[in-house]
Amino acid sequence: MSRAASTGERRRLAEAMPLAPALILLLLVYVGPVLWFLASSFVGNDGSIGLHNYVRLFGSATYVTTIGTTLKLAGATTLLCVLAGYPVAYLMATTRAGSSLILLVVLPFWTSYLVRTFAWIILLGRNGTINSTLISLGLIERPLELSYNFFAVVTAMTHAMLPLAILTMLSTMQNIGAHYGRAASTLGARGAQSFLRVYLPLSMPGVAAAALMVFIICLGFFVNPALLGSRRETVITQIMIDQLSTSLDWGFAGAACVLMLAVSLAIVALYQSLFGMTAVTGMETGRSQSSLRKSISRGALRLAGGLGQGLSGTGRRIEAAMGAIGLRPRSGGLRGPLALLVGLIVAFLLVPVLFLIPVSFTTSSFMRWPPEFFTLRWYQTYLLHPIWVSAILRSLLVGLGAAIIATTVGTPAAFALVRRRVPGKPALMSFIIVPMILPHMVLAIALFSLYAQIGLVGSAFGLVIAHAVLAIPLVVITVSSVLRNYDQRLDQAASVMGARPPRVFRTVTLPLIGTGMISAFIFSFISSFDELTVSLFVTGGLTATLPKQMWEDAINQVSPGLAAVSTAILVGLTVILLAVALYQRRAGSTAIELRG
Amino acid sequence: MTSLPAKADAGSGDAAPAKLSVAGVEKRYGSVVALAPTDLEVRSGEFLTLLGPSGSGKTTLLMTIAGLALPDGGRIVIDGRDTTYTPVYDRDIGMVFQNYALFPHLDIFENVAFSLRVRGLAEVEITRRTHEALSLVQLDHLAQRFPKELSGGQQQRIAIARAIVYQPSIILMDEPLGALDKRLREQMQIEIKRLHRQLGVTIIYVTHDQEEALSMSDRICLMNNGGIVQLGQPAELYFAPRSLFAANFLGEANILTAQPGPGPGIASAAGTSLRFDGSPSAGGETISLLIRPECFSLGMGDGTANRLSGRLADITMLGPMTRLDVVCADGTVLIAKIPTGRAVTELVAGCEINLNCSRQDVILVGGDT
Repeated sequence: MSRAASTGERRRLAEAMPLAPALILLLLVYVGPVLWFLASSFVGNDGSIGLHNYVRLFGSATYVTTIGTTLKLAGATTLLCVLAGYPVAYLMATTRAGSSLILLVVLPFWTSYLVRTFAWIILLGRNGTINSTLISLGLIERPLELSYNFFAVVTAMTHAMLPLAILTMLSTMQNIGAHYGRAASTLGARGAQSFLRVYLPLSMPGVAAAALMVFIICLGFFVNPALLGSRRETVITQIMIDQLSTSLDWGFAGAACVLMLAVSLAIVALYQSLFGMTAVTGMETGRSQSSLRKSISRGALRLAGGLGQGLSGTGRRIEAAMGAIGLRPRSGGLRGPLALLVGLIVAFLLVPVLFLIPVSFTTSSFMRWPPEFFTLRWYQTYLLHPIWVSAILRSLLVGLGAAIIATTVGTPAAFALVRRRVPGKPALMSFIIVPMILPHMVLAIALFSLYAQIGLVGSAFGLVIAHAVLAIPLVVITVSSVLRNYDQRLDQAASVMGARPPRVFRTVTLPLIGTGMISAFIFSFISSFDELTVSLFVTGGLTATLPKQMWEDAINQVSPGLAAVSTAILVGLTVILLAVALYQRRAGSTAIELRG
Repeated sequence: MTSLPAKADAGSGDAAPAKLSVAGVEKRYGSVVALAPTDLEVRSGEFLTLLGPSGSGKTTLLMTIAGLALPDGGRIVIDGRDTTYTPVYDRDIGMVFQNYALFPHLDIFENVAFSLRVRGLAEVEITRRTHEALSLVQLDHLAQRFPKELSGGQQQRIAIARAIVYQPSIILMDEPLGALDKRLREQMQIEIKRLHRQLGVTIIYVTHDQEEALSMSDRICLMNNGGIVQLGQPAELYFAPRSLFAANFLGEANILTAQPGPGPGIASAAGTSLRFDGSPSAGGETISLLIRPECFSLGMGDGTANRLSGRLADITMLGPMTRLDVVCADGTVLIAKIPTGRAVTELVAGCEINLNCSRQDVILVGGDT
């Protein structure tokens, strides 16, 4: 090798250096443990190597049914999220009034999954809001069986995942300029036709990205099935938790994890070959379209075009019919019904959570409706109880620690990915966001197995590191989206005027990307504060974070005390998010909208 | 027509010392040559324009002078000091960026004061010089505003104030007027020229707008395909282009392909025989002759002039000038611009007309004048 080439390589390595901490952390705390743990799935109970665990997994009818249930729940939720989310995202992307909805979608997005599940328990329970309201109105005599079935689980899961679906689709739709629609109409396309031929195909990558994220995250869900489902809605993660807590059967849990990972990776691979990862990572890969993608998108275009033809034919007929009876079609007449639909969907997102608030002040000792007012008993017995206080403090500390680590490690990585000439950027970006895309359960069990061997179970440090790894993708995505909009000529201008690099960073770059970094920090903190799966395993049986304490309480019985805790969390998060939103509005940035 | 000024090549015979000297500077990106080895000397107090289409290497040259891009070879000397590899922040250069690059988080005062603070000046001095620079661009009253509260033209002037406040030895301007509308652009051209005279600074100015280059520059450095095509005073480039590219890039041009002879200074083109100054390099079979549209006049001429006849295909009133599209007998299309007047308004498309031009107005492209 010539000397020039080796110095060239050394320079490229130096360029990539800021990525090193993030990559090392990911390798040590994510990739390594997960691979090691997955390998254990090929070791049987008796220590022999083989496929015993897989034979057991697929050999038992119960397990196969469970796998089927998991896929069915994830599939139904994904479909509902995309269908309900599309009109909301569309309205938000295309109208000024719609864009003001963003905070209403972002708020539930950051509200704890657990809190939102409790809301559904109150609404759908035997003595829940819906049943008692219907009974008191005299419409029914006996309570309907609204919870503990497929419907309840899918409703709550859809409620949980809808904001993510909307925000993912929105980020694609915001890049579809209005001029395409105008161009289409000058070329003679009517409303429906222009939508189906132009807008829909252009928004497809966003729809697919939303479906991808929702489906994969749903594969790892266990909170909703456990609290709102019956035996028939048992999902694979519940089996894994059972197997581990009763028999420490690592091999079997590993086999289930491999299965979950295989399904996830297959979907990610399919998506990547169709659309590339741009819509997920927000990073332009500059890769040309694959032939598969081309043929599929051409097919989709033809299909959409045909639909447009058909619909516009119908439209013309309706217009003619209306003209015949003296009615003139108003332009944009679809806006009204669309706005109504979107209003209903947003209400579905926001309203259920509000029912927690009155219940938290109820004087009865179980959750009932209508609540009998008024007491602060639940706030006193829960929020002031030493167990809860220590759980809250631990969650705050872990969240802060995780956010500090993720921000310090993720920010330089984002800089390298956006600014430097690093080879294999798209692959690196995909690698860094892996913890965000794959189910948390995989990391939870893998780390549990690792920590058990090195004595980190139950330590705050182990949990902080785990949460930091989960938050790094958030930081990288948030900070790099800010950096990509950053005009590097500002830095050049500063250095031309005589400022040395540290001073350029301190006086120009940092103040301008500060908003992005603060947002990234807060997102990391909230994601850790809300994290249940990993905490459930890694903390062991002894110490609890707030979500874990809530979960364990909820398995026994959902009481008004949980509503009180939920209300407190709700108020706290809302204050934080509104403060961030205000701060960002003042700073003229919109990073709060950019997660995932 | 005024006679051409004496040939004035880069600094020859001029007492002013070279402010900047670029020697053999080149820049490649992979296999793409952004800038072929280039030499350039700029005199102190000169207004030099780098003119060329996009991709011609003008911005690359500017960036290597600024130190924002490191050259792959060659030397850059400013005030006798080799600065080829000097970091940007030690170069003592002022720069006005394409979209101004005003710091959005600092107010106008702090934007302009930035370079002074970096240099650790006393607060009193900073205040005095900042207000002085702001007064120079007549925007001292906006010191407390933020960049986004200013109009494009105001931001432009702040960017200039920011570049001159620390009295750098050279000011670089990268298409600074590109984002402004025509009227504002003309106003700013005058303003920049005024500052140039008033401060006596050396300015290197990048633009792709040939009118801007012609009206503002002491000298124009015309670039194409990563190299310098021609360097000289505006009139020199306009009336003595050394290449077809130069002839076409500056102003409008009628380029006639002609057969030399019979005899020196005579060639046949557009169905007639044309007399011109200068002699073509030996051995060429055809030569290119340039006639600027505004060099034509109507009528019979005085007999010593060249005369071209043809059919008037189109007539367009442009304001003070009227444009005539004339098709000669052999199919050559000539464009003429004649002062708008009665003689012109009487013309109708389709009629036969004569266009006259003197021997000096027929220019041999690439020849010695």
